[in-house]
Amino acid sequence: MSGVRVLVGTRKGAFILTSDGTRQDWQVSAPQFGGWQFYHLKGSPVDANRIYASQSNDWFGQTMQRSSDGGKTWETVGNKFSTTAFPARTSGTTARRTRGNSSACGISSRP
Amino acid sequence: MWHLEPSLTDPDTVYAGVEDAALFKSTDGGVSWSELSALRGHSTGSKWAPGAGGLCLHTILIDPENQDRLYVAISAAGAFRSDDGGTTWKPITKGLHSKYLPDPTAEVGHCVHRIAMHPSRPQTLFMQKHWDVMRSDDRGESWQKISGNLPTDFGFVIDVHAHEPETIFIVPIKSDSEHYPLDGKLQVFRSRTGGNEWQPMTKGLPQKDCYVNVLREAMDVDSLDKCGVYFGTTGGQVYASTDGGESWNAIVRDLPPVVSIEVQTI
Repeated sequence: MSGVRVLVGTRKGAFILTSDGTRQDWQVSAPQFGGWQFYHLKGSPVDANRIYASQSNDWFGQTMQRSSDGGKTWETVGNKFSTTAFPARTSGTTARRTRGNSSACGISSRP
Repeated sequence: MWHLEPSLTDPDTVYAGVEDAALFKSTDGGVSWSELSALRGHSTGSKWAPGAGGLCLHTILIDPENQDRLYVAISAAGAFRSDDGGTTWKPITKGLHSKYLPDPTAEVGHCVHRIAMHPSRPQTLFMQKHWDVMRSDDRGESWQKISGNLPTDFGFVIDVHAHEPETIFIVPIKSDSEHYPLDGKLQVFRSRTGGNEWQPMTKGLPQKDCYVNVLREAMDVDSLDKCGVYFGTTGGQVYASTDGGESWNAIVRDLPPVVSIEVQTI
């Protein structure tokens, strides 16, 4: 019988919940990278053991993790996200931010 | 980095959506990243402004019938589609109405919280907007409101049943200033008609004194025979239904605040 793996990103680490196909009994992993915030983890639809994870915290910034064994082990991959500078805006989105929140899109909903 | 979307065919190819509102792609398993800069360079870019969560690119969808067709959603720029792998983009917001905008039907500025697609019917999109639940049946060219009988149509998550492309799930939240369920009752609302007609699913969920939130990335489904539905809360619970939403159990109750849920059927 097939099973289910639930990848959970939290404010203080990633967790992997596993069950067989009955989905009655669940195993909860220890925290992966405890203390770090995980905005998102997602597996490849063609290789379930390949998982990408977005790891960050306020001090160290953004880090990227990759697993090739379904989350048993992790490898730090690239975190160089260089944006293109556009002539019309000196620093891209920074210019937008200084104009304030014209959308008034509620109060804090991060993420 | 708000969202990672692996390719449907190549495990080494993955898209990444970041704050502030940029889309990146890696073809070497995440070692190096290149910006698909035409999105941020779109002619409307100077009008984009952040929502309360920042100017975040939080949704990336790949059309399984044409993988050069990409959808992204940005709070609070709106939603965009590319038909050429990210070389060019167009806003897909016709039919959206956001009362907090100076022009409520503006091309950009809508605070889209989440978009979902069923892989068997990629022309149909479901959207949870800041307020309003919406659907499109023409790849985002136009949208119709499907909030119907919902008690509140503010919320973050939206997802589609694995085997029934007209069955959708949301978790209504009280308002944009009160990010918790109405009346302290945690309810998943399910529509089996693609919207407008909604039923509250409450069995197994707390029906008093519950004031958690369910964030936009925190719902997913499995693809087992009886579709499993999962969501996580800012209170650290992960709830699962193994019967298409009829009943729920907390499979873990005391995690840190849950930001994202992804389910793999293995």
